[in-house]
Amino acid sequence: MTALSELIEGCKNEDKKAQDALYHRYSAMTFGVCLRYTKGKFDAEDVMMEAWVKIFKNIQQYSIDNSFEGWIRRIMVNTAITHYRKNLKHAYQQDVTEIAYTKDDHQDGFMHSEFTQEELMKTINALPDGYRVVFNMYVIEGYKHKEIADILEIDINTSKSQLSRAKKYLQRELEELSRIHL
Amino acid sequence: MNMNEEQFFHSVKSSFEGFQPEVPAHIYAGIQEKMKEKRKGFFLGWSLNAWLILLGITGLSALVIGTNSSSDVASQHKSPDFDAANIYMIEKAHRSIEFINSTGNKSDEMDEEIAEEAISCKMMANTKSCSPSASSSKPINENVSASNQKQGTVSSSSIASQGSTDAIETSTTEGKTEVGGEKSLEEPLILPVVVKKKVEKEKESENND
Repeated sequence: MTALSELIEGCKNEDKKAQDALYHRYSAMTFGVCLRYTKGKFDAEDVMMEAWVKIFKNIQQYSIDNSFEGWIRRIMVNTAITHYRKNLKHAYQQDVTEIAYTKDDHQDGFMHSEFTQEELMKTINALPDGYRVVFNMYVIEGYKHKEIADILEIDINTSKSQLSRAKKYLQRELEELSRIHL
Repeated sequence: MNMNEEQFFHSVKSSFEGFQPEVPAHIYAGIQEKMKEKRKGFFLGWSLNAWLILLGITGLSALVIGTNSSSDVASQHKSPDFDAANIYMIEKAHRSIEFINSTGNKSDEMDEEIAEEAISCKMMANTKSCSPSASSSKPINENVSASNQKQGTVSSSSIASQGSTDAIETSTTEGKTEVGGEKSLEEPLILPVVVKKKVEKEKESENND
């Protein structure tokens, strides 16, 4: 297997073989990121293509001192956020209308249940766009509410409330799934 | 954030670790297509820019060449010596020749003088002026040759007295000295008439005698 630095150098020289190898090495990981941030497979494919074009075009800017996987992931997330922003109007309408809460939801306690990656992914994909983006940024990427608020140009409290609602929605849905499993 | 929430987030995050879904094969083809499009767009933009630059350079060079040639023509037209004096000289030559042709009663000396002056005027005009004046000098040539032809007839029938020739001479010398002034341009229009009258008076007095 070719070393990563050689692949990166090859990509910098626009070597097609190096680009193929780099893509195949990171395609699964990057597609996972895209799936988490988007509503479905089609949107994820769009984001994936756009992000990889960016990667190949801007690979000259990558510094060998930083983690390449981190750099790629950041490009994926940024592209997904840009994609989300493009559809922001529709997303906002969904946010308001989508989720209804009931008092009997397990709001404070989380009953740990068994769920597969696919099930979790489906549940996350079913979240309204705003909730999903905030949830991913906070839980998976590890951003703080302040950072999320700055990137998405929203209030910190909005970020917090969206995360809270996303968590409740996911808990409820996953518990439903565990009940079905039982 | 309570413990349950942390646990939940942790469990979600851990379940996503090592998550590698199957990637559809057409995505890479799509990426390559997009890359080609971007490259094509870049070259299209670049070639458009190149054409625009080329067009600009061509236009500029045409403008420069145009201004240079026009300034050359202007310099040919506007030589420092080519001014009202030349025009005056040409007109003067015309009038002198016309005068000779119309009166037809001058001495040989006078004819020669006027003819010489006309020729010198013509030569000066030819040397100092360019094509437009050259075209104006053509009738002078014709007139000069006509005057030369006429010279024979004038000399054979010369009845003009010495006074008349003096008057003519003074008129021509005045014309020479006052070249360049606006006032002098008008003089030749009057002088030949005066001379003509003088000649007629002298004729009458001779007849009376």
